[in-house]
Amino acid sequence: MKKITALFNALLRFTHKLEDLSLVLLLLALLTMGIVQIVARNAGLSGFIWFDTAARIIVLWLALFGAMRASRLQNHIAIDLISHYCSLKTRRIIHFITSISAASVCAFSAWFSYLFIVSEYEYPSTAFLNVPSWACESIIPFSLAVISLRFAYYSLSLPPANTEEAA
Amino acid sequence: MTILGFLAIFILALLGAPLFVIIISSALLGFYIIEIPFEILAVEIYRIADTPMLIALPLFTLTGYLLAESKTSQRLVRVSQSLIGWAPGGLSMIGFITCALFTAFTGASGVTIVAIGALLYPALQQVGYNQRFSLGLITSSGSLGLLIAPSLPLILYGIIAQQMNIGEAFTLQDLFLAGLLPALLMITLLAAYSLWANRHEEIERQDFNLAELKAAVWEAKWEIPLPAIILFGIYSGIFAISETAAIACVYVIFVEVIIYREIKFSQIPDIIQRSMTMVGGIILILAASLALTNVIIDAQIPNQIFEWMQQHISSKITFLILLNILLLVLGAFLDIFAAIVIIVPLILPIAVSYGIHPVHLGIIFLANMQIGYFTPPVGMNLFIASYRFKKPITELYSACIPFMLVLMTAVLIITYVPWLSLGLLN
Repeated sequence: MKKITALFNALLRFTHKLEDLSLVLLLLALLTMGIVQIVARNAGLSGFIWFDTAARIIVLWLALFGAMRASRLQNHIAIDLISHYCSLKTRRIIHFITSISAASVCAFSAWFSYLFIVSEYEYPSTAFLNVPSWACESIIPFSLAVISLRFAYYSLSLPPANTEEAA
Repeated sequence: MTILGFLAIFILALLGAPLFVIIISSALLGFYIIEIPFEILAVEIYRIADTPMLIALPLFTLTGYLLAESKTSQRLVRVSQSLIGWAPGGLSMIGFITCALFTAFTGASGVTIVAIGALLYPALQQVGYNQRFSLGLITSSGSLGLLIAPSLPLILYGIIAQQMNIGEAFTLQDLFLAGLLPALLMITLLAAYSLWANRHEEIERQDFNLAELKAAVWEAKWEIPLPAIILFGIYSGIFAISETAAIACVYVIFVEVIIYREIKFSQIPDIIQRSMTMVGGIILILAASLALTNVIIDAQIPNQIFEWMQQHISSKITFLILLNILLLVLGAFLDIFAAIVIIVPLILPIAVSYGIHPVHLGIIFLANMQIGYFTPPVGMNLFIASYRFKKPITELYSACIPFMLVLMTAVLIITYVPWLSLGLLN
């Protein structure tokens, strides 16, 4: 049993590393494309028009990877008006309710986004160059599913520390 | 059933469920009511990739994070101190200007209070400003740069308003131009107030020292061009805004990592991850709110509110007064990004029907939100300042109230003199 837990934790750490690395690579790609685009345009080179579409899709991926990381760190923006005034026990209960609800909403959204991708796959269109739209969109159900799992996973842990104090 | 659903969502929001979850649930419930298949949610989220200004968001955020991580704040304060430290009320002016600039670049995330405030707070008291005034100045200036390019809330308002495509068309450049005079008005009024408030105090003035000014400028020579690069990029029209953001980002990496060596290469991945976590949180909320906005418009909710309002409020002036009150209250309770994505889709169509220009509305909106940052009892900057300067929160309440009244006057002028926001536009 211990071995399985250790393996699970190692796997978890690996996916976290992968997620962090993706963020860095996507941002560097975005930055490089921005600079190449400026140089190419001023040098009169054409053929980089697809860069703009590709860059915006990179931002979508970047944002959703960032959102996955935010859910790992329990760092999503919330209108938290009540829990400041509650005892730790009540805060735990509130945290459980909000986390489970968030997990369910994300799972529901992930499922219907997946159905959308399937329909896109059946009637393919291209996003830019030869890249099909469904491939660009596939990050949506994937990230929502990951975020859903994380909310479920954290529902039993302690509520996060007050972010204002952390600032 | 529907009412129960919205009630449950409302309770979840109050309990502190993540904002994007609240907005997605509302959109899903909306889809259910107006009988649209749930698959549309993915289409709506993907639609965020159609927003041209979107690319600027992560790049400007990273630039701000890099500046906050290096010693830019120290150099900024040194340059402005040697430049205007000799003038009456010089140091308080420095406070307003440096805070405004720093917030414009780093977002009003409290970084300004921690980075600039921590430098200025002891300096202010040293030259003779009393503690209460110094505390109020630092805390209320933390959000002063919201109206100045390239502040994130300004970009976010632009994205949402343009997606809605209501009222007169405008570009992000217009919005950036529109914020200049109102921001200047706020700084001028605050400076006048600080001269008046300290008229009986003995404030020590620094002698003007050319050698010190030269040294300070020389030390900051690599960062001084940055605002010029960004403003030139944005207003000249030679570069797109996303390109300007890319140039600014590469320039700041070059300056802070290679020239000043205040950020190590090995720190960059961590800074990227932290900044992109924030961007991810914001863009997810933004994407969800695009879906909700469509539901709101499909269900003709703004029209209904407008029709109801027209029966009770006939004049534009009354509408604007109510708008200011509403925004001040919301600004005190809601996070600025939350307020933008939730409230703008509802009030923009109504404001346009009353003949208000979308750019003017954006400036009114953010000017109110700016005050919300330090409005008692829950303005975020009050907590940050209380934590940073180890002062009881009640002391901060009383320290900030005079500054709040000054800025409210500014907001009233901005609201009723549209020229201030629209005069510089073509």
